[in-house]
Amino acid sequence: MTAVAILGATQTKHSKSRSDANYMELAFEVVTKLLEETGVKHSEIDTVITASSDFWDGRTISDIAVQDAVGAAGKSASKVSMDGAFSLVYASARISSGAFKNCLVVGHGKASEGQARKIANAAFDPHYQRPLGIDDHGALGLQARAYLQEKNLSPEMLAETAAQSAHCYAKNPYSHRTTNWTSEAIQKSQLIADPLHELEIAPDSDGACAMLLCNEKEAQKRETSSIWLDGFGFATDVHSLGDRHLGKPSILSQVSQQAFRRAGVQDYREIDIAEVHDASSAQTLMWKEDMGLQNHSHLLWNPSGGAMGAQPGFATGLVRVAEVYQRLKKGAARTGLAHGMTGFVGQAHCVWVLRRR
Amino acid sequence: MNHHAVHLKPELTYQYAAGRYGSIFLAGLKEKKICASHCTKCKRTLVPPRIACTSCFGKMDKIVEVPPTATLLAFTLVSFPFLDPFTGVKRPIPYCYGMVQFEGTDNNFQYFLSEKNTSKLKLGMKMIAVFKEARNGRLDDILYFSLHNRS
Amino acid sequence: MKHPVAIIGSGQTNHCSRRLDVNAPELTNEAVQAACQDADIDIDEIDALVVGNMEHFEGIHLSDLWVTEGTGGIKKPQLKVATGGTTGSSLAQAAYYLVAGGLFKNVLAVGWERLSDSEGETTTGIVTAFDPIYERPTLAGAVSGLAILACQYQQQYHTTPEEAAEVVVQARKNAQLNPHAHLTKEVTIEEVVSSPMLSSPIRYLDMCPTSDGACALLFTSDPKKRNCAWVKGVSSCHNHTYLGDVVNGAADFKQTLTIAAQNAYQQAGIKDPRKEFDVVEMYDPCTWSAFAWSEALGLADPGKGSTIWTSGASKLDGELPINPSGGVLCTNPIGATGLIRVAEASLQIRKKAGDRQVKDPKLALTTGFGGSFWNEVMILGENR
Repeated sequence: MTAVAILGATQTKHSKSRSDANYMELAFEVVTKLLEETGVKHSEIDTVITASSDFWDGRTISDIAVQDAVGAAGKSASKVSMDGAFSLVYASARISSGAFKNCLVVGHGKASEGQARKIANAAFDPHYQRPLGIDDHGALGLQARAYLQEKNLSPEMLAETAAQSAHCYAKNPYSHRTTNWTSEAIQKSQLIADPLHELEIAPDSDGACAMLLCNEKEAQKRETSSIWLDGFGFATDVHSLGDRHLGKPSILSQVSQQAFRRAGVQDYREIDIAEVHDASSAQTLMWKEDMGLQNHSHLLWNPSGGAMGAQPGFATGLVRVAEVYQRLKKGAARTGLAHGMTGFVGQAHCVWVLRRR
Repeated sequence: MNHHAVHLKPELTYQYAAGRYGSIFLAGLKEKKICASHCTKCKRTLVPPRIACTSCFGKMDKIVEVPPTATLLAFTLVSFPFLDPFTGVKRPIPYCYGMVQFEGTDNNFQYFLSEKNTSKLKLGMKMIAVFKEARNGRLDDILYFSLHNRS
Repeated sequence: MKHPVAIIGSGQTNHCSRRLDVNAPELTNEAVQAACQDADIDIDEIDALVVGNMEHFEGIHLSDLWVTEGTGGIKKPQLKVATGGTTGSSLAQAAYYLVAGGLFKNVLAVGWERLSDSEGETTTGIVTAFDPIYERPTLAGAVSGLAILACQYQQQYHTTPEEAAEVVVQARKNAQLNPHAHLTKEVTIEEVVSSPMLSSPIRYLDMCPTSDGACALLFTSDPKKRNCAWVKGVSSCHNHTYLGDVVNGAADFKQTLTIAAQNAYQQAGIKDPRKEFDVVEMYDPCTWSAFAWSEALGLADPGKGSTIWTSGASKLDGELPINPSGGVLCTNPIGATGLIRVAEASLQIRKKAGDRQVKDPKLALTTGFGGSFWNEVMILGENR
């Protein structure tokens, strides 16, 4: 892959419901803000990749809804039907091929318009698992229990971890959840899928995120130092819940190693900041271990609060990249890691390593 | 060998936000008004109103009212049975719909036509929106488009 | 820097109405095995996959995560690209860019559709592709959407239903030579113009079927000494959100097929498409579209698209064979359909198209159509 830089990234203030905006208006918000901040005009954007879920949107070919908002009409554009972090792979490929000098990436999700648990149930295989009525929360519960047993940890650990996330998302102006919940309050929240309580599970949010990528030549025209997408890794694991041990390391281990290798990261301590899509507080712990970062004492981990603060569907991973980008840009760190996933208990993972140069 | 099949149909309901512009349009229908969005930069006027201009992709910054008269630009008589995702039952057929361009606008609006004899329809004919007596701020406050001042 | 991209392997199932004997992973596996065999490559050598189907139609969310058991994608990088009717061509484009961009060497594109067994579900599904407030109440899926276009074309150029029927008559004849094709029964012009009207002017036999099937196509930057087809031009052009903006009369109407074609022609150095292309695999969801779109591609003058078929130029032994595979009018597993166009064109270039082989083709044109009437174009050639 050739050098690909991020010129800008914007996100909505994620919330429980954006009933005031249809999808065109939601995407329009983040794209307009992005173009204002970067000073790039619609006419200067070469190509667009969007990320959205047909099931979540209740709309087959869900990308049609945002075509004019992202300025895709008349341009070459496409879509990745997975979390936005994966769409950055396709966007980078388009730039790397030399066919396009920049690429706008927009991800959106509105959990409020559909029935999230029923939609999640539709993702399990129709023969053996869907008839059980299992949904994403149930699967997360299974995973959390398997993890606690595997590591011989008490459920209180989940609440403490969720409280650490809350401490961060309470300071995040874009977060859906805004309260600095204590571990006690979290354990008192409704039990959803044992051992997980409501506040130990990421919320269902409405939101969008937009990002502008460009090639090296375009980045060099800017006077400020750039943030580079230095390395990626992604892979899909087995589908059926019983085909792997949900409490043991996931394919994220392999994926993060790929990203490190591609980015030339020799030692995990080079990573200053990491943002992961943690759909539960068990995952907040698991993903850190899967990437070999559990002993990294000065790692800034999910400073935004992660997905525990906001989970706007397929925009969630893109928001992780945006959060790392913003912090690198401000000079808070030099090397960052951003993670996205598709599939509830982490069947498919995608990791990006970003650097400021 | 008997091949088993699992019959599953996700019964999902959705609540689609009309958005700011859509809400204005639907509220307008209740008053028998056709609202359009206008881009002062490109001078585009579009129905239904929406935030993104189809010319510059910038914000359509004005809402204007357009008359209910329009020009017919395409039509089709739908005669085959299919399940309507709205109602969950087969949509009543045959029905006719077309593309009409409201006077003073720059795009087409897709809606039902009262005339089901397509030999009586020709592109370029003048049509008029016919409203229901009782209106609720929904798209079907418009009953259909009929021929207007037979051309 | 751009890596040259070649297609070295193609696999399809034998498309039909219903594949009740397999589930989606098994269906895609058939096509994947066939493609690997055709490419003479071990499945372990596949570096990444791009897969796609229309999950909403089939009622299976995140279908790519399930089907990975059949595609060979387990533990591998796999992306899902699903864009409606263009899914297959979008898969080909995504695979192309992943290879051209140097991200991966061997990328397998897999498209499939395995619809549940109720009739009319596709129209129901396609209705939901459009705006829930303004468009769903009137729209009758792809059929009426295409009928609106056909109405405008017919009223402008006075093309007759008999001329349109010629497209499917020829397609069915070609399909008889294609072991993968779904509908192969010959039809006559009389049968077509007297078949039930679906949405005027489109009649039952003017319209493509829906099929169950899968297609896998292997793209690589390192074909070694294999018989391959090279990708010479790639382009797509998207369209507006609302249907009222994408048909004639809208001020910002875009002829997206022309825009995409001109871009691809420039990349491939094509100046006179009618003369320079030896074979075309066009995405023809209905007979009427074929005329408008052949004009948009620059293969005929405005209003004269029908002459390509009525003159016999489009026949297998004609001057510009169109859809020697039988095209979409004979076979339409939605998630695979656009990919099948590229697969069939690659078989033509590689001289592996069996009884439907066109004589000595050097350049092939493929198109994909779908979404809110956007288009994708890919040109293949025998030389790098």
